[in-house]
Amino acid sequence: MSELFVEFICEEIPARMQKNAINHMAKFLTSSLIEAGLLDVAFVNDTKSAIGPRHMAVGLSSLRKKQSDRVIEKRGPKIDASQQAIEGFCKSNGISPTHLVRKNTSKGVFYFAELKEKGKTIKTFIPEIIYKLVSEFPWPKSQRWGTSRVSWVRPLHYINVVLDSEVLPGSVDLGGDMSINFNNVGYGHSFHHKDGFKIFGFDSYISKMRDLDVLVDVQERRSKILKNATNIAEQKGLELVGDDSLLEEVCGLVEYPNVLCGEIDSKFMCLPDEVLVTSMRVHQKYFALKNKDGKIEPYFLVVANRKPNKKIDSIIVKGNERVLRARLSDALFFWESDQVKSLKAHREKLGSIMFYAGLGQVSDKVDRMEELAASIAKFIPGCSQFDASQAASLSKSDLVTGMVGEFPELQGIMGGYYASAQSIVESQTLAIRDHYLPKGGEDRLPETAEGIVVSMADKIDTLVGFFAVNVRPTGSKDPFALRRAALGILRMIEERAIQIPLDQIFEKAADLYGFKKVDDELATFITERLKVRLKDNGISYDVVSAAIIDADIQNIYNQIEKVKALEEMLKKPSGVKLLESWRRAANMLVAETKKFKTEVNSFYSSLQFADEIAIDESLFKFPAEMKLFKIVATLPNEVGETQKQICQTIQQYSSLYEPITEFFETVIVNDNDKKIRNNRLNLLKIVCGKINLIADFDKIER
Amino acid sequence: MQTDFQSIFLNLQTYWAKQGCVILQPYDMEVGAGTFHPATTLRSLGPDFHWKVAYVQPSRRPNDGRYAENPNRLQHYYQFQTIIKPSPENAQDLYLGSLQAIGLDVHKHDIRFVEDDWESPTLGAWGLGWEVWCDGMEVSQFTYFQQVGGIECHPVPLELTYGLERLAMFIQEIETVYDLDWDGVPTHRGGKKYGDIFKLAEKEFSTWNFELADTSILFSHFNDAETECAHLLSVEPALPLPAYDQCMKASHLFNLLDARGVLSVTERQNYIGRVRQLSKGCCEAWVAKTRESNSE
Repeated sequence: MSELFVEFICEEIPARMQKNAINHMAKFLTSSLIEAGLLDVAFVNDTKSAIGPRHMAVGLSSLRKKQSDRVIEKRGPKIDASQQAIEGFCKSNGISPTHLVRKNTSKGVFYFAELKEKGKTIKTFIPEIIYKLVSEFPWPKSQRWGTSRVSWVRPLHYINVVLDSEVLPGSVDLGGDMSINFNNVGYGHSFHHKDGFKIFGFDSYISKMRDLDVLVDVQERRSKILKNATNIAEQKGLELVGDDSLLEEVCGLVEYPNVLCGEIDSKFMCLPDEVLVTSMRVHQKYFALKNKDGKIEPYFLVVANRKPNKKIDSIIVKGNERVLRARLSDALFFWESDQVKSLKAHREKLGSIMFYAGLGQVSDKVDRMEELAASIAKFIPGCSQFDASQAASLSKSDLVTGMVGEFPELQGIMGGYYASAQSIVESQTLAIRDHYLPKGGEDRLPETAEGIVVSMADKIDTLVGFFAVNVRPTGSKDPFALRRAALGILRMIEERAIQIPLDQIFEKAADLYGFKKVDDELATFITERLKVRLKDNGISYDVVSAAIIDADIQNIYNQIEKVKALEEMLKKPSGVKLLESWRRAANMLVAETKKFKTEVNSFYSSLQFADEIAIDESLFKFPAEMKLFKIVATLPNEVGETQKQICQTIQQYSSLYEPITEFFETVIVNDNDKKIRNNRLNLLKIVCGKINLIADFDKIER
Repeated sequence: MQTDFQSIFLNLQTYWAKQGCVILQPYDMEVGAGTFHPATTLRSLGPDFHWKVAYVQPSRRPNDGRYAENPNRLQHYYQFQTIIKPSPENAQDLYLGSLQAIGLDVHKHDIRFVEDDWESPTLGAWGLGWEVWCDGMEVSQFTYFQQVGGIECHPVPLELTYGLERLAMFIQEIETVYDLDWDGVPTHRGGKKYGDIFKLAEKEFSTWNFELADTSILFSHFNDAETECAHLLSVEPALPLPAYDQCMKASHLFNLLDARGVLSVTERQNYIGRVRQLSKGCCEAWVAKTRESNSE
């Protein structure tokens, strides 16, 4: 069995691309070798890989040295083909006509040649797949360099290919007279070591690289950074502000992490924590430290890319402190100059920012939101209509401040700080701060009722506007995050139990734009997103489609509760009984409807008018008919608002089971007397119509 | 080693001259970056297979003016620019050598190559590379050009751009650009600091750029430059070099109009598109013409 080691050495790979790149490389080599019959699927998990900014390495073991020989069948001419054609086929395949085999196919009888193909050795196979790997590597962005025609993420310098401790001869042609010969020479940290070393295999390579100050394994770098950072924090009696995406990025920027601690000048500590953290993370990729109360303390952690050395470390820290001072000076300048004007004054500049072509400026959006918030506030218990409306009117003012210009991710948060600094009441301040929330499925919701209102006003204005100018999400494209806006609205309705007629609110929003009506597709879009969300939350798809009425957005909360109740009840005997009752009644109706098309109205449309159907009690002939009729009459016509109430309703409805069973056991619907038959069918219609108040049980599949 | 401002660019010049670069002087027009110099834009495309050049380029960014009140933002600053075509195998080492040559010992600092893809919408150009960090400070842009004027670069030029003021501030360990020691001569013997030379200019130009520049004149200059550029490209044979001068002019006039805040978002896009048309035209004419003369 053979062992293979492959390493690419290139100039710094962008941090964000490293993970996918090494996964691809490992997968490509493994699957190519399996396909070629050189590796057993059983060993697929033995593939090892490691990636750092300049190195990507994969090790494979248990490889066969040679493919086994194969026999390939090649179809030739039909047996009644001309002699010339048959001879030509033999000649081109290098066999004598005596070796031809006759075989039946669906298209007739043909001559076949059985050709022996010699298995390739691993030595001839590997260079081919490495060329393929290099020339077809799926980098998100790649470049040519020098005179090359082949591209790579950044210039590629060395390719090490080691088979059983020896270099495998071969090369990759880059085009333009450039090529890279396979080698077996590794290089450590370029600032510490210039000389190469001989590579024998994956494990010894990793440990040799560690000796030469490169931790090729990203897990090793990550845990070293975390450990060092946590140690420093603990020494200071503080905690590290966790930031997984920053950690991931920093891991991709260093070969040998060295965590150093610098100090933040005390004059900057008046800046809000979010500003400190964002400035450090976005511009400098530093970690922040916080105290027990969660407040940011005047330190930062920078991860340098070299071995610790007291003297050099202090130079590096000083340099970083100086850079951070310049960065925070900018932030401090914005913090102070932004507050010279009130949010109200900033609002006046919103006319210079376009919201979207055809949807006016941001100032127009704020005007609309102010009014829309007042309409929404009526439906939110405990919400001050005045505060919600005021908060909406100031919610976008921070967009023209210097700080948000520099750090767009602080929009809303800065508005909250600036509002608070000018003593705007807390309920408005928090609403301004929170109105971009939630930013996704996991993000928190606005803290206050006013915050919910402003957030809804913003998102509804956006949805109604973009749909009106025919901008809507298609496939994976959703540049204005309209799906996220819809999800935010749905989450607020569900998690805060908000009963709001979205159809009316949408009309109001359209009216504020000056549009005649709400785009037809918007309501369907909302219920579509609702269905997706419910399914994502683990509710069966058939229950979702049974209980959600497309484009019905009068009371989304009620629909959600209905779905949850139905999902719950179908797991219980009463739900199953109700479903069973529906099926027996509905099946009979459908069958009879088909038979007597002319006499009975179409089944489904008739359900809508079930409560108007007249029953003639004098036509009942069996006790079961009267029993069923009486029980149906006792069932409530209101399904209920909350999940609990709806569950109770379903429970009540399930009492239909026994009378229906008895009905079908004792009564034959299809009586010769038309009147009697229709009376019975009408009774079943009433039963189905009632059950249909809960959901369209026809869609339930179980 | 001397670390005053002028020594830094003199040392950079000497270093790149030793690497076989043609040392040019700044192009005598207002441009936003060293990349606009025809020695970069046009020569990236041809005719020479080998093209190595280094020069200082005063760069004008009207929007970045701060009336001399910000410690590190200027509407006029210096870039040092190096182009090496084809990009050499040892590009990174050559670059690190240049830092060494101006007194930045790379063995005593934390040097990092951080992804930064470069794109110039007005030049129709893009490339991949990094910003280079020294102890957290961005000291250079390092770019492998892939396209200029919408035309593929082959061979690929390497572009190194050093922001000289930033770099000098880092080396001199100071926090305000105006405090940079320009000439290494003590003040009491008449030595000059950056502020002595440029502070007034920063104030005056900020006022002109933001407040006084007559926008109707700027608009008509833009149109004139555009017309002249188109004219020079339409004559037979075309004159891509003078045409490109007009393109640079239009680009700077656009920057001035932008600083005056008189372009709406859509207009802005429209003007960028017009400049890109000009630069594309110049680059295409340049490639066509130099190919012809090469084959003669």
